[in-house]
Amino acid sequence: MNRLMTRMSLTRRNFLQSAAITGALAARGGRESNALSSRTVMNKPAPLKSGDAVGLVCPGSPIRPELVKGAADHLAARGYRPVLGESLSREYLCGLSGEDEARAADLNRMWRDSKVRAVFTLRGGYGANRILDSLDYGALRADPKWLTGFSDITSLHAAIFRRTGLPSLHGLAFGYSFGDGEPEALIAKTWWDLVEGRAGAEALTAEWKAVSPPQTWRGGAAEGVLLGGNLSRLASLAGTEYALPDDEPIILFLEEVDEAAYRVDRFLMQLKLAGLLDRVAGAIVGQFTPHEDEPEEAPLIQNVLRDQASRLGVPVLAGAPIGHEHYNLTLIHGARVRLDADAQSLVYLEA
Amino acid sequence: MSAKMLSGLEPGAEIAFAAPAHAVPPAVVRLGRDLFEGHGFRVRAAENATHDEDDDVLHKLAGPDEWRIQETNRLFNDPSVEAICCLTGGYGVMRILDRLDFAALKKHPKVVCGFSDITALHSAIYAKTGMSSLHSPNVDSAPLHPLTESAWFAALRGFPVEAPSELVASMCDDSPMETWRGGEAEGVLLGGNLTLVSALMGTPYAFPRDRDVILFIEDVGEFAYRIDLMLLQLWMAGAFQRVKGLMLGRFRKRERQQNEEAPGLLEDVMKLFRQRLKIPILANVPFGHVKLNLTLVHGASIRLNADEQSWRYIESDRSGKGNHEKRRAG
Repeated sequence: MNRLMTRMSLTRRNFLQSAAITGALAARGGRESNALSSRTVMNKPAPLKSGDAVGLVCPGSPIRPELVKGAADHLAARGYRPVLGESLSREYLCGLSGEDEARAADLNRMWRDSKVRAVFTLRGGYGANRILDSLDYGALRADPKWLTGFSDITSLHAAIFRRTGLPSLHGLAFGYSFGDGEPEALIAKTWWDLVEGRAGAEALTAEWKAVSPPQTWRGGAAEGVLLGGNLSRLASLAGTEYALPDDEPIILFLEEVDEAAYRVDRFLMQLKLAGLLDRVAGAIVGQFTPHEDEPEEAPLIQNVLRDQASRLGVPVLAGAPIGHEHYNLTLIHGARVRLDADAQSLVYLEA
Repeated sequence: MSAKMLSGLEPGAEIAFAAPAHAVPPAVVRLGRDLFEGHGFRVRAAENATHDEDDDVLHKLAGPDEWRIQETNRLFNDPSVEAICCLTGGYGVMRILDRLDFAALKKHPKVVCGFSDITALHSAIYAKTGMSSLHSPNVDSAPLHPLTESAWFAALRGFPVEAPSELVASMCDDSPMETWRGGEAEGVLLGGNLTLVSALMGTPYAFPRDRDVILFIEDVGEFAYRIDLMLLQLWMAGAFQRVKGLMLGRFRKRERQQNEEAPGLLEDVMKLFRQRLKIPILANVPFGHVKLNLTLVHGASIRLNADEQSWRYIESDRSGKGNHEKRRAG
């Protein structure tokens, strides 16, 4: 089973109700179009404060109950109130943590509950795509709050960005990183700095360089909105309303696990042939971890990535500790950034 | 004859082997030549390009992209070539799709044969020219099961196998077709390998949405969740909107999948997906990465009856696009 995992469902009626709420907000200066463009200021969720409720969900695959408990205990110890989804540890069909309706309902409940100030996915796996059409994006737009996770959760980040324009946090699977004892100091610090609002514009570069040296594959600098995540999931959204946007420059970051080189190439070719790379102004190459039975794929994957990166003709910075290996930087998906591949820096342009 | 129509090959017709994807060992070319010459065709064999490994990022391609592009376009442009049979699939067609000269293929119509990765070529041919092609074994499928061989060469001669027929019945002897949802539907028969069908979503080579489609899909070695993800992509991309009927092939498992996945899961996943579709569905149709791989005419108009487990190709009319002109036996 692939290490990706995650997911939720909403009725048409609920969506229309949310849309009505959003319409009211729009009159006060909010945004309501589905595909947002020319964003001036990032509508960043408020930092977590002591005593806030934090939702824990599994939008895709299930996680063991002891890790749920560990994650909840960890939150409580830090002064937050964990709110558990109902569909976390069940086993359903092809690696899902419950029926689509149950997983969607968990996420929608967290988004609609004004006391819940952030939603942490416990793991990814598989399943987020199955609930994208059932989520109450209007509720999230009306009351922005962080959603965290990666891998299969890439699809949720993409959908949140396309449907609300809101940023989200691409990073650790909270259940695995915090549910089983104390994570490393650097991992824990950068995580809490982000969700508690202490991370500055330079934090990302500093953390990256503290973990591993960046590699400049192609020089130059570019600005754009930071989007991306798991390559297979980005490809799985091609042709849908959740695909990468075509109306603003993108700084694209990518990672992958368990996929052979030819598949990595195919995913990239799909993005390219679909025109989804046309607006990529800069790229960040994260970890591409081959399946443990296919270590020979590692150099081929690097071939593919260098080949495709050179075709892009934009600044490319590789070696990012983003992905399924030990270190996984947390990035603000949907934030405006400046990538400078010569200076090897990645800086947020908005506070 | 309309340029868009595919007519049956006569004895002595020239068949060219093509290598748009992975490389094949020389024995494949020899076996293939014997096969086609045995059926009375002339064969223009192809070999892999002799190339530096550095020019092939994947180390398995038949040649560098430029070489595969030039060779494929050369065959498209050659009026003496009446059929192009792909040596193997694997991977590689998507890397060259946007450089292929489909206008040349349309100008010098010929039937393109193959499956698996070649699905991308079929899909692009139909999207760019409206021409039909044959979803058939690749040359490296040889030695072929006699029923697979009969069906392929019948289609090459202009008599694609329909059902009910003795040949299809024989192919289903040990593993019958299943009606997952009854009913009857008509449309253009399009599809192939699900991985490629989904990989073309969002691109100009995806199957069109402006006409009724009978979709046929198969896959090999893909985990149930991946099949689910790919079907879902088609669904979310709106690709099912004009799909009026579905023919599911034989989904073969590979070793890792058999070890790690519960038996029956793939079928459970597809049956859950079936609930979204209110169209006739015929399953376990004998095509796919299996010995019994029935040749289907990609891009032909077809009438499917899932209750009777039957299908008939429909004669094209003058205004029809990409219909298969078929000469009926007898």
